Amino acid sequence: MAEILQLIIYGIVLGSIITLGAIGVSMIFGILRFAHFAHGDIMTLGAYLALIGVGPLSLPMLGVFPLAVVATGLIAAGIDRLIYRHLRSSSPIIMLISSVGTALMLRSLIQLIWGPDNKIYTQGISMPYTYADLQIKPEQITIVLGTVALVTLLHLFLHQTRMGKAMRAMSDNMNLARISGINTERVIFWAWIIAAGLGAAGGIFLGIDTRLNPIMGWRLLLPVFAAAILGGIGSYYGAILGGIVIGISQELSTLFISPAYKPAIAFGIMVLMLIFRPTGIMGGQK
Amino acid sequence: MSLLQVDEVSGGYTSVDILHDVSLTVEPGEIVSVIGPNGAGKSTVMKAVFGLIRVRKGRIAFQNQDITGLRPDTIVRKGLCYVPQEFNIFPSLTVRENLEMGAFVRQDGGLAEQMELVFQLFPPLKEREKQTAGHLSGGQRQMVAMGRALMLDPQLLLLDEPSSGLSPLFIEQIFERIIEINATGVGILMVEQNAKKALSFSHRGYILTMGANRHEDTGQNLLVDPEVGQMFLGG
Repeated sequence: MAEILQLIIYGIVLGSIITLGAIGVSMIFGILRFAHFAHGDIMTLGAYLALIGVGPLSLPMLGVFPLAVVATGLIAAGIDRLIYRHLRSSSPIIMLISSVGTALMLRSLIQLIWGPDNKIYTQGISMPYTYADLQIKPEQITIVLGTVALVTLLHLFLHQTRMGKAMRAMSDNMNLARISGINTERVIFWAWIIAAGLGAAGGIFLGIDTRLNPIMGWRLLLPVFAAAILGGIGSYYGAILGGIVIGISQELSTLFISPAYKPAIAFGIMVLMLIFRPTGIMGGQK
Repeated sequence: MSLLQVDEVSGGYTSVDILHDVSLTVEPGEIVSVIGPNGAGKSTVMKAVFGLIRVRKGRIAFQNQDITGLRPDTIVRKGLCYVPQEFNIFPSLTVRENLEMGAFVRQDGGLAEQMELVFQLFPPLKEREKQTAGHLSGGQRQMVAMGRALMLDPQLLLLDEPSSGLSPLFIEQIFERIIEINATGVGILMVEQNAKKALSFSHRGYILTMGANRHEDTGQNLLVDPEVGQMFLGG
């Protein structure tokens, strides 16, 4: 029993990280109607940008975190200007393939700059808190609470601000948004800032929980997509639910099969979902 | 000065023209209906006015200002608003948020008063302002759609099949509201399947067939014209 609870705790930590990626994938799909395959590498980029701050500059993570998040958002908006914007009128498949290309470029660039080896933010081991056989590290509490805070901020943004409402409107009905006079390019800019910013936060959390390497985000892409599809792509709240479910399922699967097959669980859930309920739990877009 | 002037416009979605030299005008304060069989290009005319399709030839002017080929978000700032036939609300937004989106380009802060006016026109929306628009009935959705378009206090409203898919009771209500909106000085250009009913309260009407002008007259004259009645109003 304790073992299962312990795995659920780890699942929630992993699920938080997946959630932060899945919200971005869902948001970009909702607004631009394409599967953004470079999202995993955007997460990696965020993690490495934070490494500049805490590594060579030895600044505290709390100060570096928002800077890395904003910087990643701006870079993603820049990539959109440079690449995706020119392809918007073409088919979603062309956008998707171009994002695979972008993913490869980002990953290679990260590898060129920081090298292929594992990196860590801080040396040393932190002692976990123990309560009746259950363990959780202080960093893991930070990750979960940080995710809750970011998701709350996102909720407030989407429901209380003019731009947030315009973003929901655009993912509801692109044509009507244009007819209503919403400047769609400006909404797209903010969508990239938020989607990539949350992705960067997820990447940094993954770096804190484990370690950094150039393929950390690419490896996470499958569970991230599985979470977005499970929740219903285009639905932000679905992405949160999907992220947590995928995270917990992956960790619980280690009870029965080798941890090496964890991603297969995410893939399995995604395939089943696509066959039996392609609109996801929360009924997103097709 | 005409409110809207469409001058020999040809164009379509692709390189194939659907409209062939279509012309029509709306004078200030008028209700003008466009009727005709399916596939006559009635909705396409509206999309051409609103910059949603390619206009290959001809000129569209709003208050003597050329708007041919402008983007929808530019056109909407000039004082004409468009209610498409379907997919004309934001289903996951609340009623109030739908109206706010209608006023997205409005910077002068008159939002609260305009929303009050829309609520006066459509009282059921006031009661449901916090409800998700996608959960409303067909008639209420049409109210949301028209309310959204009215949020900018337009001089001209383009309505594509406002009664489509509604029950007879709601059709009556929607037409009454259109007359009420028009009474406040808003010009209306309307496409309607329900041609008899629409012509009965329209100042003028145009009949389109095969993407071209066929006939034009006052609403009353079109209603009593035997040929029009037989061919386009179902006898």
